[in-house]
Amino acid sequence: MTWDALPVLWQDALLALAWLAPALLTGALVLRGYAPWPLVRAILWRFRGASALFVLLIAVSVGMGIGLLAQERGLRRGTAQAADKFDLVVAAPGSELTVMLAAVFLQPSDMGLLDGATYAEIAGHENVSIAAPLAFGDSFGRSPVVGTTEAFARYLSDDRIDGRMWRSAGEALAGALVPLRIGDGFSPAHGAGDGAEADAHGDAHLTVVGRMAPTGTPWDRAILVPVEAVWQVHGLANGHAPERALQIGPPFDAEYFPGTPAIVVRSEALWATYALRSEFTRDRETMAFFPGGVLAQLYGVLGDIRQVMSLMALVTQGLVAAAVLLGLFILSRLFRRQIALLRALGAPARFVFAVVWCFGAALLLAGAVLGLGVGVGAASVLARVVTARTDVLVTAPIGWSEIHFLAAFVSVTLLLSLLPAAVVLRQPVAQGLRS
Amino acid sequence: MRRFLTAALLALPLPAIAQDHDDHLSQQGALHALHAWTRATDGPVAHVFVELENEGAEPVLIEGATSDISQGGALVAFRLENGEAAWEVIPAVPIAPGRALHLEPDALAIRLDGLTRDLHAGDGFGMHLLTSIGELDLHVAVEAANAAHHSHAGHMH
Repeated sequence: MTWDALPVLWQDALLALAWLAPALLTGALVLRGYAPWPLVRAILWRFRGASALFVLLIAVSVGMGIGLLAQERGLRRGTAQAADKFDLVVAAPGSELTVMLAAVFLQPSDMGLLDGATYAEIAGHENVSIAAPLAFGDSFGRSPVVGTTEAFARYLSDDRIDGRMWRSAGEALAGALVPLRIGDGFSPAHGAGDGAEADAHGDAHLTVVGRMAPTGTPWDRAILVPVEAVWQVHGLANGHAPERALQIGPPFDAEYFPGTPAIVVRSEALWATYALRSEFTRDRETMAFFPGGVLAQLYGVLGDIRQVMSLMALVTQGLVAAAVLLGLFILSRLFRRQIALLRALGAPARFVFAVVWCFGAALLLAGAVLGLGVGVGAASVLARVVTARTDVLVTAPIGWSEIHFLAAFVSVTLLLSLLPAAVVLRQPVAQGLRS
Repeated sequence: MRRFLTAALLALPLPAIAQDHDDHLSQQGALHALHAWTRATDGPVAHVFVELENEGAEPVLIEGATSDISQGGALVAFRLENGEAAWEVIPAVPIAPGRALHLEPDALAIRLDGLTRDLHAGDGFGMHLLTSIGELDLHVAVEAANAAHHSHAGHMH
C-alpha cells in the first residue's frame, strides 16, 4: 500500500510518530537498563522553583506558536464557511474581490447594476434553483439592511426561522445578532456607518416578523427585507408591473426591475454551477464567479504569510531550544555536587548521564504538554476576538499540523539535551565535590 | 552568398515559432483549445488546465481525457471544504454555443491519475480531451511546480 492510498488520519498519525521517533529512540537508548526516576524526582523537587520557571517559559513559547498556527487555519475555515451558501455570484464586470466582499461579507462598495433582462435570463435558466437579487445601501445601527428574496433567506438560514417569513414589503427578518426582537419596528437609514442619514427614507417603517438562526457569518448582523422594500424606499419601481404592485418575490418584470448589484445563484449540481459560470461570463455584460474560488486565490496569496508565520514559529522554537540548552547547562551546575557525589560512590557514567538527560527531558516534556494547553487557550481567545470584530465565526481547534509541530519540537530539544548530560560527565569529580 | 545566409538566418526561427503556435492552439470542429498546461510534479497526480471556446451553434460536452503518461483522466471541479481545497469528479460540463470554459486552478481541471513518469518544468506531453464531438488532441506544457498559469497566458493566437 502506498503512502497516498492511506487514509488522511493514518498519514497524520504516522507523521506525528515519525517526528516523535527520534525522541523515543533517544529515550530508549539513554534509559536502557536504568530506572533513574526516584533520583530525577528528587532533583526536580530540590530545584522546584527553577524547574517550574523553566517549564513555564517553554509552555508559553510553544503555546504561542501553536495558537497562531491554529488561528490561521480557523480564520481560513471561518471565511470559507461564510462563503458556503454563495455557490455562484453574477455581477456587472469588475473586481471579483469587491463583489465577494460586498455579497458575502456585507462590506459596502459601489458596483454596477445588472438589469431586469439579465436577471430574467439567469432566473429562467433550467439549471438554476435559486436566483436571488441583492440590494444594499441601507442600515439600522450597525446592521446592514439587505433586500433579497424569500428563497435565499430560507436557504441562507437553512430554513431555521423563529417567527415567520415576511409577507409584505413592510416586514423584515432579523439576523441572529441584530438587537431587534420579533414585533419591533425600525426605520432604515440611508447608507451605513457614521455618515448614514437616519431620516433620509422619511416614513419608511418596517416590522421584524422573524429571526434567523445563527449562521456564523456577517449575515447574522444583517436585517433581511424583501428586495421590493429596498427599491420602494429609494423611490424606484418595485420590480413588478403596476397591476402586480403588491407582489413580493419573483418573478420580476424586466421593465420594472430597477437593477441589482449582485445575483446569488444556486444550482443543485456542481457541474451545473460551473456550466452557469461559463454561460454568464460575458465580455462587458456579466461576470460570474465562485466566492470559494476567490477565497482560494486569496488563501494562495496568504499561504506565503502562513509560511512566514510558520517560519517565525520555528525560529522562536529554535531560540527556545537554544535557551533550553543553556538553561540545562546552568541547572546542571546547580546539582553539580550531587552528581559528583554519585560518581564518587561508584555510579556508572551512563547512569549519571541518564539522570541528567532525564531531568532535562522531564522539564521539556512538561513544558510541551503545558504548551499545548496554552496553545488551545491562546487560539480560543484569539478566535473570540476575531469573531467579535468580523462577525465571521472563527473556531480554532488544535489540528494535526500543531501536533506535528509539537512533536518536532520535543524531538529536537530532547536530542539537544544530550549535550548538557555529556558535559556534566566531563567535569572532574574532585572539583565537583568541593563546589 | 551573404544575402542567402542572412535570409536563411531570418527564416530559421519561423518554423520554431509556427511549431510553438501549433502547440498552444488545438481545434476539433467548432471547439478551440488554447494553452494547455500543468505543473511539474514527481507525484502520481497532475491537474491539467486549458482555455476552451465553443464557436459552434450547438453545446459541446467536456467529459474527461486520456493520455499515454497516465492511467486515467477525469474532469474534476474545485470546491472549498473547511477552508481546504478539494476536487470532486464530475460527469461532464457543457459549453454553450459562443461561450468559453476555462479549466484553471481553483475551478475546473482534468485530473491525470497514475502518472507513469515525473513531469519536469519545460517538458510537454500529449493528451486527448474527450468531448461530445470527438477527441481533441492537446499538447500540454509543463510549467513550474508553483505556476498559476501558462507561461504564455494572455497571448493571442
